[in-house]
Amino acid sequence: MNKYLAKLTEWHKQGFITPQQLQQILDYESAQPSSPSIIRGFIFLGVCVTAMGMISLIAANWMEIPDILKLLCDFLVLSFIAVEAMRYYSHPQPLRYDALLLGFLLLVMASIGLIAQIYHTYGKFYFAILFWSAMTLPIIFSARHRLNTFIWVGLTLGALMCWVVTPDRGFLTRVPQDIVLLGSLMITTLGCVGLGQFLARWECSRIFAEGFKIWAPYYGLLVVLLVDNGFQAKSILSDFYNSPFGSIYLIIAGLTLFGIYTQEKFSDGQKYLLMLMIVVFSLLPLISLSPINLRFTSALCTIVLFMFAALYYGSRDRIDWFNFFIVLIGLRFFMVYLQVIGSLATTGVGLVISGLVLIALTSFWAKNRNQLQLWVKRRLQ
Amino acid sequence: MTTQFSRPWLILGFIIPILCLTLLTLNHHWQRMHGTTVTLPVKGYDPRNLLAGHYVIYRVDYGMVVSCITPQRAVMCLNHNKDNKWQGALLKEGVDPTLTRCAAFIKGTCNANLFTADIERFYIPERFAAQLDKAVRGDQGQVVLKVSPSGKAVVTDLLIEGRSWRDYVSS
Repeated sequence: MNKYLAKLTEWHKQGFITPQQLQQILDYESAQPSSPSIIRGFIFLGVCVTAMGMISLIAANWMEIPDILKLLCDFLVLSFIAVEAMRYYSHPQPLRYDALLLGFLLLVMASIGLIAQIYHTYGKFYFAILFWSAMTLPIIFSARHRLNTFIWVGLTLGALMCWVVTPDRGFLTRVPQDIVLLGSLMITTLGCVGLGQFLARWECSRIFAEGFKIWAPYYGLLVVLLVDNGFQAKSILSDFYNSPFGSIYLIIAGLTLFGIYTQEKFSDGQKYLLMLMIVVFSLLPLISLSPINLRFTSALCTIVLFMFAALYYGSRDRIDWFNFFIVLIGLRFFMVYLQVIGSLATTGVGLVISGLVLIALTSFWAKNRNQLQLWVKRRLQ
Repeated sequence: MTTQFSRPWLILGFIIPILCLTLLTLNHHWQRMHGTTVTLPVKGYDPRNLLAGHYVIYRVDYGMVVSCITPQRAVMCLNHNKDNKWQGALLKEGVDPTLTRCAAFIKGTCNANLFTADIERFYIPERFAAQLDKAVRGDQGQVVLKVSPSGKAVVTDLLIEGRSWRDYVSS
């Protein structure tokens, strides 16, 4: 309330609101029940302390507790959370169900660890996560909050990536490590885009689709940054389409392009923009074949992809991502500028000019970002 | 508003993970109860922090020199030697262990002259770490395994000087 009071007083002084309106707002706000966030915070703290105490007790007496009792307790808690979650599924506040679902998901993972500890088994951690993903796949469709699907998709994709890029990856041992890394990242990016679009077609999997949609720009960004600056020998990457990854990628790209083309929720402008972005993205491994300077091609591809991403998010009213990609474009331009003037940048004059360029770019952006976003939205919707 | 899951689907969604974990536990338990008991010496020690204490990482001594460079699936064929101790023999890739004369066999991976079968870890309480560290470093450790007819091995006990680690630390 206090944080709004100063603003209200200021608006009253400026004549934006009448004294009656000011009083009405103050009366309304003071009649509201006090924010329960503090109470919730203390309850949460109490739960955490109790849980820590229980964990400490179990840990301190770990050896004395019979294995069967440990397992029994684990399964009882797991079943209890499942029953409670089912009870709250139809509750008007979906957050309760999602909190219980998150607890269930985490406890399933902890149970895998407990069983491994009791029976002294172990394997690669990513196999444990993939086992967890497979078991919890049906129930994740019931999530109503993005956090659960975000965690599930993130962990599953991370485990799959680790499995593919691990050194003893069997049939892929002959493929260069750079191509394995690039291939798995590119397939994951496009897989996220494709599955995000595909699953969003049904209401029951809409929240699940959100999980993929959230991860897509992160993986895409990683690919662009790696190709732009990460890989030492970019010429190796041109073999990408001769590797098994290339064929898989092309199939996924084809399906994703078809999915976007037939997506009714997109305007024509958004469709073509996304499709163009996928085409440029697919050309990234081939940048070393460019007849012009490799550094220039690399920077050009990065800026073009960031620009497409900014335009797409701008047209979808995702201001946060729109701003983020515009800032990245600015930074990449600044890097190009530093590359062009080379060692001159370290001289006094060079530093002054660089600083002024940075200030000018930032000021331009700060003044025009709202108009720019509106313009993008109007053009593409 | 999202689509509501029907009650049976929701129940099924929650039951599947619990059922899978139960089956996993029963499978491990069955293996522990059945299968051939194999005792093999262990070497090396690497304590790691864990919520409930530490675990020991060791190398199982199969009584032979393992030779492989690139990662590959492998099978360790086990038989008793003249001293009535278990002796391993690494079977080549593709050889069916059920057709060879093996009293027991363990399926695993061979890489960098090392055969591993996900049995190279044993969980111990933190307070006994130093004591067991000293014992295992002195090559006094052995692991007791239960090996299933399909070649899956599980660790059931860690022996120090021929005694279970629990007896060893309490004496």
